[in-house]
Amino acid sequence: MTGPHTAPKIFEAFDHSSDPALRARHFGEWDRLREVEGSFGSSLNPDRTVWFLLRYADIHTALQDYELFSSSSVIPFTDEAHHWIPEEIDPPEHNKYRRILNPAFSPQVVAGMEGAIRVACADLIDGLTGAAGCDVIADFSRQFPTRIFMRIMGLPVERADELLEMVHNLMHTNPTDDPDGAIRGGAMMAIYGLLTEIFHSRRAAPHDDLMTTLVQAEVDGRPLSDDELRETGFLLYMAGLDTVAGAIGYVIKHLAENPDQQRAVRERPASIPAVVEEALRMYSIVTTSRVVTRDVEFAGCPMKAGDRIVVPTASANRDPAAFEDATTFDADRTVNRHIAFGAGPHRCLGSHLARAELRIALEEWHARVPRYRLDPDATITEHIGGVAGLDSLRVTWG
Amino acid sequence: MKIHIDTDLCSGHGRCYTIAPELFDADDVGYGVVKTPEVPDDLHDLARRAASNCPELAIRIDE
Ligand code: HEM
Ligand code: SF4
Repeated sequence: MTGPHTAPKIFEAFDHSSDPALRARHFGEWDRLREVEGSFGSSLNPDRTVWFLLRYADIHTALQDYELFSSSSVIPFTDEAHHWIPEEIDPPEHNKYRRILNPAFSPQVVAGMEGAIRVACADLIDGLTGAAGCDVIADFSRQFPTRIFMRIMGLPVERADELLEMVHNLMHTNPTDDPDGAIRGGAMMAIYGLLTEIFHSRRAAPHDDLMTTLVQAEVDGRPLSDDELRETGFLLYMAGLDTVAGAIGYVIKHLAENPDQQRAVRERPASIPAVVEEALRMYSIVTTSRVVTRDVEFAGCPMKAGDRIVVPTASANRDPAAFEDATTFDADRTVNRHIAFGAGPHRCLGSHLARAELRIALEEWHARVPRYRLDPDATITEHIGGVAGLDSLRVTWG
Repeated sequence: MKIHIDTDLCSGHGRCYTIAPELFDADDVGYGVVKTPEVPDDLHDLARRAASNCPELAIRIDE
């Protein structure tokens, strides 16, 4: 679908991760930008235009069309080359790596982990109910997926806090706070170091974990190189931890603000999968990016090869052209083609795991904590970047 | 009514087999497969519902 036939605007220094209006109003600001601009460009990087696509139809088409829009870099404004696997690999190469990873995240494997996920979740929540309230983010939503993920990967659980800190520095430091990239670069090197250590130990002594699967895997009849192992481990890391943490934060905030819906969830746990689906749609956290491979006019934008597109799934999933009453939280909607997990070949590898974690989090949370509401004395701030989330979410019981 | 999954488009979101397990199944890594290609009358609405929740528009229905 193309937009209105006026040339899209070019904003001089727009970067979604530091834009003050987005940081202040987040989802509402994406809604406003979609309605007013539809698509627009940013000339922050003098060497190329970074195009923001905000309509569902444009984002959906772009994510499916991997030939026109390459994943060779998902970082739009700078020239970092990561070669993250499988995120930054295009088909047909992409499938060689997905084939290795898919089995570990299949719906069947996730179903087999249900009990362990539930125990880890319940343990964490039981530690929180003694006080008058908690910080959902620090005390629960960051801890929970980390424990599950470390178990799948075979990472040392006693180093969970250290790992969380590294991921946090990497993902939530925006260019304004870290102009020369020293914080992010340091965090990335620290994670690479840890991963290398573990890959070496799994080569020497295999375990029943994903790190071992990776050191034993082959592409084109050869084992993965050390670089490939690091690039894969690192991407899994970034993709698996912070995302579920962010999504849990938004759905609990929503339920804290909507006591009727909170009561419904508590009284009817069977409604939780639908609530999870609607929260994924309303509060989508991932904003990804692609490289334009040839000159083209797309979504009204005169794109040149080498330009980038930025596609916020939050904007797609709240587009009134694609969803009825798009900004209403309606867990009973029967048509929900949300793309919170992306679309096309790079559809989230961890989507079955993420859905299970979200469902179990809401089930155990509401079975264990009393009524909760936002702490009136706390201010809520958010980070917006590749993955959005709340910095903290203080709730009080009662 | 007949249902069909376009395997080039299906990317394994799993909405079909979650919403309509009577009609769809997951393959061993989570891509959708049709379990009941010829949809019985009482499941027509369910088939339409599954199709309208597939983010890739990969499910085709021939009425
Ligand atoms: C609510 C939680 C999550 C959301 C909303 C989410 C969202 C996404 C999205 C939108 C993409 C596509 C990115 C793109 O096209 O550039 C993606 C890719 C990916 N996700 Fe997730 N994700 C979540 C949880 C997870 C978890 C738990 C894992 C587990 C390891 C994971 C692993 C991955 C990987 C490896 C990719 C890259 C896939 C590829 O390039 O083929 N994600 N995710
Ligand atoms: S919902 Fe669509 S993309 Fe998902 S598994 Fe079914 S057919 Fe495939």
